[in-house]
Amino acid sequence: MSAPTRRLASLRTRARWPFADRPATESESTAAPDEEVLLDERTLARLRGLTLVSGHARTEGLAGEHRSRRRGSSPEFADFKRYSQGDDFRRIDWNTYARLGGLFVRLSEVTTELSVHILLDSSASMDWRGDPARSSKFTAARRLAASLAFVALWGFDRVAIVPFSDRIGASFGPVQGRAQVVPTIQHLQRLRPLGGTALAPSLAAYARGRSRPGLLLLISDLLSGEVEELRSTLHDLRAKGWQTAVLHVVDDAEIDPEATDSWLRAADEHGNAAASIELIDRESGEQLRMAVDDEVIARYAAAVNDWLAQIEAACAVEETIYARVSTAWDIDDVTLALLHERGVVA
Amino acid sequence: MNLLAPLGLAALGAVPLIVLFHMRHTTPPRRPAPSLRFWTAARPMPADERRFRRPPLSLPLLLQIAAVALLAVALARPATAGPLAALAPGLHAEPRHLLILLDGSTSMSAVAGAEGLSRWDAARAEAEKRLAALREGDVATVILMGSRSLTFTATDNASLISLRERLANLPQPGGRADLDAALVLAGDLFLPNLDRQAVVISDGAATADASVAAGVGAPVELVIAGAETSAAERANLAVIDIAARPDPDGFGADTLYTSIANFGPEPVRVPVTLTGDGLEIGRADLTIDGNGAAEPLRWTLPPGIAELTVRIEQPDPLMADNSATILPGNAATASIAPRILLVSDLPGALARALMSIENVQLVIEPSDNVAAIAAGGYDLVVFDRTAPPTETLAKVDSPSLWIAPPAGGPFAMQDGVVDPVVTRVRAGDPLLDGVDLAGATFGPSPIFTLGSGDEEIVGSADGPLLYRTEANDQPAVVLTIDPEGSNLSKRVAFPVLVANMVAELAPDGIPAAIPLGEALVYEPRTATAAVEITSPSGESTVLSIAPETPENRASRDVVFTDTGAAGAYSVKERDASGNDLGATRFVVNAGHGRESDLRANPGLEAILANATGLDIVATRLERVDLWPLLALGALALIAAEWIAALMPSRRGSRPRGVRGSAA
Repeated sequence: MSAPTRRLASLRTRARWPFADRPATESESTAAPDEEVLLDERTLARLRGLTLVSGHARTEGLAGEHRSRRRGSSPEFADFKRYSQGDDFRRIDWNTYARLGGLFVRLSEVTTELSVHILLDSSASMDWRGDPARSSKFTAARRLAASLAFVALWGFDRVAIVPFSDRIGASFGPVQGRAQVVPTIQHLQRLRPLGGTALAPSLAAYARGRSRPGLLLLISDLLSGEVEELRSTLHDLRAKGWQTAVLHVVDDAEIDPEATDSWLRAADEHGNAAASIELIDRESGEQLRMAVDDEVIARYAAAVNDWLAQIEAACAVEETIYARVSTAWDIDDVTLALLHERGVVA
Repeated sequence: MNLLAPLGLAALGAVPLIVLFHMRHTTPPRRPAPSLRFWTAARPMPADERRFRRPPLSLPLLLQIAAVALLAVALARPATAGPLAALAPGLHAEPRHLLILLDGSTSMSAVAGAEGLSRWDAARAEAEKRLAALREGDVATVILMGSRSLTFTATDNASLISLRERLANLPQPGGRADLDAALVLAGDLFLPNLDRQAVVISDGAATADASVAAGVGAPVELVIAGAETSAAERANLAVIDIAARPDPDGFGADTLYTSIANFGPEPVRVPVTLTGDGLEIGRADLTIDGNGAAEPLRWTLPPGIAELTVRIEQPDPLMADNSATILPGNAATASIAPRILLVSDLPGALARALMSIENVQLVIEPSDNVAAIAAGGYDLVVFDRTAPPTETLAKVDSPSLWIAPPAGGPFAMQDGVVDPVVTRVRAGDPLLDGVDLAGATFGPSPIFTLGSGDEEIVGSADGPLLYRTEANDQPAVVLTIDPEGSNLSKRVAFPVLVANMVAELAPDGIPAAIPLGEALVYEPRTATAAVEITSPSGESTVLSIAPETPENRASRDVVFTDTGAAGAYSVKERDASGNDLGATRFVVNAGHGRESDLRANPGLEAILANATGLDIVATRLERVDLWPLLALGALALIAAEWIAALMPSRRGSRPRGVRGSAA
């Protein structure tokens, strides 16, 4: 087999089965971030034991594995109740009547499926990393979306993946069943950043287009609009019966003053540390030339902390799950522990 | 410390350029950011738009300035003399010319210490040590002082190694060390534009003239070989003189004259033996005072002794001069010695004076033996108060010496007899060398007339008393006075005058004995084309002699310098066809009044201290060129600057640990 043929076969194999047999090494993930395998077998093994917590989101149908308060005619026994008028007499347990002389109706447990909507921020601000050795926020977000989609599909929930920027992109799904795991992850791998961001409008527009609410997982860096705008949107979603979780993807260089300082003062290719720098906004292209000093970094950190506090407060007010996920974390350790703690998965 | 290339400091001009380079503003690096909202809120200071800023006191700037400064100083080639020489072996500044004057005289044969090494061995080791310290570019010259001055020069590493190897195997020449001549030669040999240094390695038993030392043009260091020996260990006994002459009492026996000297500090009593042809024929116990006092010895010899040896039967540091040999019968058997015919009817003072001349063959014939006079074959004919017939004189083909020639002879004279008084003397004439005529009376003498071309040496108011002339186209000297009629024959001046006249008219004879290491110099016969000299060890040396011409007569002298071994040497002369012309022997003895004195000259060091270079005020120490050290330091600084420059980027690329930032 020639070298080009081997490379082609490798690409085909990846396209068909986007999981690695082993955890990706650092060199592999940093060498080609756009092609990195999103999930590995070890992560999948941990994800198989998890389910998404539906909360107050409405479940429906019978294909899922979410236990419902409804009682029905499934083989799964749930309880007995005294027969009352109007009950289906086909459900009277005659054996009980023979032993006790009273009429009891046999109740069965009904399981339902959950509609999971993963809204993935695909704006240009997500395509950024403060440290070349780490993944971009977009890659980390896609990896997080793939993990949650896998959990949902493995539990026979319906999953829709919706990328958005300043508009809603082409959605994937809804799909259901474990056979959809591979196409879902392949779709995530193919996603590319789209452009600017209109977070709240996109969120509202998507919700309006759905007749039945479900679990909405927003994966974003939230660098769009004001916090109040986001809170208002979350309020509307909650009013319409949506269960919402905000998964905030951040890079350490955005929120950690020390990492911010290192990113700003990083030496150029000649080894010279810059005394001034010109920042370019990834989305707007706006430029800012400024002197680098400790005071401006401190003021930047204060502004970011204030913004984070506002977001957390807004989510708390609107009973929205909020979890901040760093690009430095592995998906199967810190991230899952955090999601479990915040009630996203169980 | 001084700078050998001060122009190198011009490189310091790079320092302001480096500072300017660091002062300039560079275009700030462009970095994408996910959002500017928080940076805008942080109210950053705008970047400085000026082209230059204040010099930043950054580590790279300081390191670069330090490196350039070090390189500039290194280019200026600073050199120092001092403790840094030990820190940087092999780094000396200028190429230097080291000139070693190595004493190879006889006294250097003395044992220098308990190890049994001689002073020569110690001196040679010191010279090798000095040569080993030289480096590429240095020049070394070794002047070997002894019977002959040998000069070796090395100008590169290969020749330095070769010189050291040659020095290790160099035999001691012996003889006397002429330090003055060596110092003059050293002054001529010093190369210009080099750091000069002269080292005299000697036992200190030498003398030097202060004015000669001052003219060397370089500092002269004196290294005493065997300096650790005490005065008692330098005490030496030597046979410093030996001669055998016919007994003046006229009984036909020879008498041996010898002198034993004691150069030790204390008087000693030593046994001395006399050996003739291998048998002991005399013994004496001498008490000799110290500090160079000499005690004469005199033995009357039995006839027929061919070889005599006087030996001091007591060990001392220099054993070579404890014996001396002479060949009293050699004159009778030698065929190279000058043959002198004395024509005299009444041999007296003149005959005794001729017999006292060393190593000549004297034949005395009466004036009526015309056949013997006309036979020729003599190197000199002496006419004592007689003159041959004209036809006989015409057959004399050799120079002649005339003592009180009678009237009617070949020389013009006036009538009358006077009692002359010396009124004219040709000052500096070799015939009068050592001749003191004061108080001499000459008695009645005829009045001679100088011919054309004659040269008066001593004259009176009436005519010449001693003059040069020609007889039968051969050189002649005429002494007009009769020695027997004056008091001249009873004065020391007479044999000296006779010896001077014979030395001028007759060819030099080979001396019977010469000191160890002294060159043998004599004039060979006219027909001699080669001289073969055989040393006591049996080694023969053949010297080619150019045919005699009027132009090269003086340059035909045989000079044989390999007299470093004591003992008897044989000499043979051959003509151009290889036929033997004659043979003789001479003896080399080690004893010498100066070389046997092993005591160091206390004033030598002070005399040599007068020697300085033209621009040197003190003895130079080893000068160290510091530029390699400074260049090394500059390289280290550049490496440190690189490390300092790379450190921030390495710190920036280091993965940080995971920090939980969840609210």
